[in-house]
Amino acid sequence: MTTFVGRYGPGPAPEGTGPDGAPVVARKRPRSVLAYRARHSPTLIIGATITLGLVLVAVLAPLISPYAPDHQDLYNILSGFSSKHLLGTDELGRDELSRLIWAGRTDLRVGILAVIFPFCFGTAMGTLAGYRGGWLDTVVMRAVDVLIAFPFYVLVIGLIFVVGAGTTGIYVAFAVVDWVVYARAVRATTLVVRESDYVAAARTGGLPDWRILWRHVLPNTITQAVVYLTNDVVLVIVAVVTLGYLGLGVQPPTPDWGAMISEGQEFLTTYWALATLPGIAVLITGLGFSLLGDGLADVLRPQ
Amino acid sequence: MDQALAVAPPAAPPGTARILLAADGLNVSFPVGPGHRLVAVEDVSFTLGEGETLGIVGESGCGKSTVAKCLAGLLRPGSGTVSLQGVALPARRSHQQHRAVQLVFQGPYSSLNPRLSVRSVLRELLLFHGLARGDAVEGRCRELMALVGLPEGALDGYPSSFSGGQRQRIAIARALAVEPKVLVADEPISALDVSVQAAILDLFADLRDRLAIGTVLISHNLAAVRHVCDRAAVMYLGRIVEIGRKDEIFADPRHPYTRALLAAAPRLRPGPDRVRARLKGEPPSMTERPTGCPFHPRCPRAEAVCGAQLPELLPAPGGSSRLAACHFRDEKT
Amino acid sequence: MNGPVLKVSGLTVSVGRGARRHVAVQDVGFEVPAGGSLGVVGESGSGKSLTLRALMGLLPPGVRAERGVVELAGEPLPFAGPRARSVRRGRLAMVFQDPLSGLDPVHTVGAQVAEVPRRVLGEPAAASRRRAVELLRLVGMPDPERRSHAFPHQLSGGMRQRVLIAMALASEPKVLLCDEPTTALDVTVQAQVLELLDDVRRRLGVAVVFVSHDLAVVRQMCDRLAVMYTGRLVETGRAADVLDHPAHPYTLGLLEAVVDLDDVDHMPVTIPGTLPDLAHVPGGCPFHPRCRFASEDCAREVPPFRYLNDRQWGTGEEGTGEDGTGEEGTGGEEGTGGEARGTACKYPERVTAG
Repeated sequence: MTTFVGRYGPGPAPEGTGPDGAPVVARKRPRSVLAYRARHSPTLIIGATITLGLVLVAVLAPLISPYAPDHQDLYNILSGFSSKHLLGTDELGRDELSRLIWAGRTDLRVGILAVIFPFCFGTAMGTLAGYRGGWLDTVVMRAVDVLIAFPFYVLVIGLIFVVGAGTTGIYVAFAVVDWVVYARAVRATTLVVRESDYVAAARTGGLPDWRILWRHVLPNTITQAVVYLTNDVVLVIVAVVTLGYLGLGVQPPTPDWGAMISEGQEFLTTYWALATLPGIAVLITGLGFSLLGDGLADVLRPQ
Repeated sequence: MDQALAVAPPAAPPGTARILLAADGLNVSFPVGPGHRLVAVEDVSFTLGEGETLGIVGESGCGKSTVAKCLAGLLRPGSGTVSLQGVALPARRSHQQHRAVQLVFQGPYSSLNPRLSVRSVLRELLLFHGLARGDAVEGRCRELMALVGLPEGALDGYPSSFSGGQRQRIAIARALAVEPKVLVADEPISALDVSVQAAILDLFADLRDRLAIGTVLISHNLAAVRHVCDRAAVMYLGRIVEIGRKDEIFADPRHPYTRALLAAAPRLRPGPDRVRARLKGEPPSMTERPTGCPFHPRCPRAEAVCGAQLPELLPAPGGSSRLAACHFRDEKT
Repeated sequence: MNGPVLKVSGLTVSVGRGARRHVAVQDVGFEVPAGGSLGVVGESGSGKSLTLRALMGLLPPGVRAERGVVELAGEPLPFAGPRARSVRRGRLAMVFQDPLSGLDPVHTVGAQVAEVPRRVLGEPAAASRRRAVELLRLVGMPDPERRSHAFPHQLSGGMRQRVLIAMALASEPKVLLCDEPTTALDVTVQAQVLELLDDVRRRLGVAVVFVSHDLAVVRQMCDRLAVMYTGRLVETGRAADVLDHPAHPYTLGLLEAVVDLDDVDHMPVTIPGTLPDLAHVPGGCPFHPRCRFASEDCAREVPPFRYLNDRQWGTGEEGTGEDGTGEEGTGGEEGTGGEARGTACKYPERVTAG
């Protein structure tokens, strides 16, 4: 390695070397800082545990569910907790625990899939609008303004009526409605990052815009979107459950927490578990994802 | 090492080297509010010779940073051109044209992408421009680190693990990676600690000697400019008021603003009594420019002609390479 | 009045708690005579700003003054607690670095200056407004009557700094603490503000403590100088003495690193190594890894701060002493805030020779 020979002779050791000349690159690299923070964030740990647990249960449903969700045990209708049916049975003799597990599988799957398009599309739109400005920005932001002005459920239900109830309807409805919040958040951060010197340096370096966006802008703006994603999953899952409750979501015979709540309503006085257990399941799911989001926000905050 | 970074030929006397970069009649202004324009740069022209270092000094609002951005292609001037080796650069520059003029930014804490390692940044540029391939890339990265006086291990580091002075060196390495012909440094040392400033100035001086590039150093620090630059230009309210060889400018300033700047700068070792003429008044508003000479409202030498007629940048004393924009340019200090 | 108007001794400030705690200011002491000016010089991490804040009772949460005594005209001031602020009103005032953040954007500058006499000195509103206009005139603001109705964002940086100075002077303090007041200003504006501060000092007899990283500025402004490094005092003395005949290798390093406008032939030389992280200050003399005069014992023991025989270091005359070590506690600093010349280097004679 050639040594730096200043015009005044060998000169002092290069900055950054210790007294013995060995290179000193002090302090930890960002990756290990993230890992450190992750290990010390109780919110993240608890959130991640709950979420992962739920996902595991959902994925392993065929293996761990004691019964098939539509298996009817007609001798044990509306029975309470027992050794045969840990959480009892519903009015058709179906095992409650199994139904909870399978409904969770459905709702989680639909909820997570439904946010993918809004996340990608919203982030892309926000980035382009923020970076390019001009007419693109105006068009995108006006669309955002219009969509945000509508109450969320009004739009979603309206769209489902148009497209038809069921999972397709859900995916379409959220694709149309849900991307706007990502776009707004990402656009705001992009506006700031766009003015930073390292983006200007990339421009003077001759790098094309798409490359600058991909390597320099996006990595610095996407953490906000990711954190919001975890919260959005909660919203979407709750919305899926609500739609199921209204009969507009996942259609029977596929089990769904919302439908379970709706069906269990009429037995509230006789056998409350049917309506409340799915609600508790939704609660725990929401808690898990929220804590995960909070934890991530904490860990990913700028150094 | 490849040719673009070969050792510079022996320095030609200043002013006679081939012209590398030329700014001609740059004008930059922005509309602000109804009927008002903020004039950031007005009619700025200068040349930079090969292997030469030109300093641009001035206070805030004089337009020096705007000039830097125009040179680097980040800002499009309202009118006027920037030419490289005689060829005018278009508003949208090609990759090659961008490579030729590189900018080193002021704040070492904002000019590096916090999420990329030093190696990633350098590799990206080297690979994109085809300056090195395969195994040669790593070697080139190491050479760049050595060129700016950083140990090899720095390549693995992320910006947050470096000090201000080290980050500035990384920024310089990034600029040099694309083998530019011109380096424009916008206040490269003002955000650094005193003891570190010397090291960076040293680095600029060394690069000037070793590489065949031209440098434009923009700074409000007159002493730094005096030590590192061959020529200097003084700007006020968007215009160049004086330009010439540094010993001419600093020893025998011919524009009252230059004299005021030199008088106002605090000295470490107070010399014989200097004229301590305190400049009266405040820097003027950039949207309401004075008539005639922009400096005349504050100028201790001003007379009626100054408010009426804009003085041109003309040689002073007659025939030298130094230009001053003052009606009384022939008067010695 | 006899004795210094401001006397600080043994000031120690720590940051953080538990395992993360480190000392940011260690055992700092100095004196300022009435109407005198002291410059405190250092780079980042030197602790100079924290020292000022400790004097002002303005330490941020998590930062504590562990030890030390601050005496204003002989009376000790508490660092924290309910009386910390009230006891300083009308005696100690601070001018901050950034005039934009030091001023409230929603009130006129006149109102902000007038607030001080109104609240601190209890004057009625009309009298306070008149006083505010007087103060603005005092600090050199043209057309103060009209300008007092301006908002901070309508004024230039230099004008805003003058307003801050007016606010500080409004409480009629005996000591003005200035934290890099001209660093954010242009050269010509800086010259105006420095001239103003000097003028104020002479006319009103206010003592000034001026913190800066710029050696040339403190040379111009201050009678006396204190140099700090990693939270410790490394050298004190008359400004001319310290800068012309430094007694500590760090001071010498700073002088060699600075580019001076007049000294054309001197090329700046950088101090080797880097500023250490305050949490990992080297053992022994904190500067020893970067010091070209260091010997083995410099790494082993922390050299105590001591006073030097003034004659050897002030006038450049050859002293009669063999090795120039001064006696503890002499050098004329008792009670006069005078020409005490001190250094934290064990071998200051090497600095002169080298």
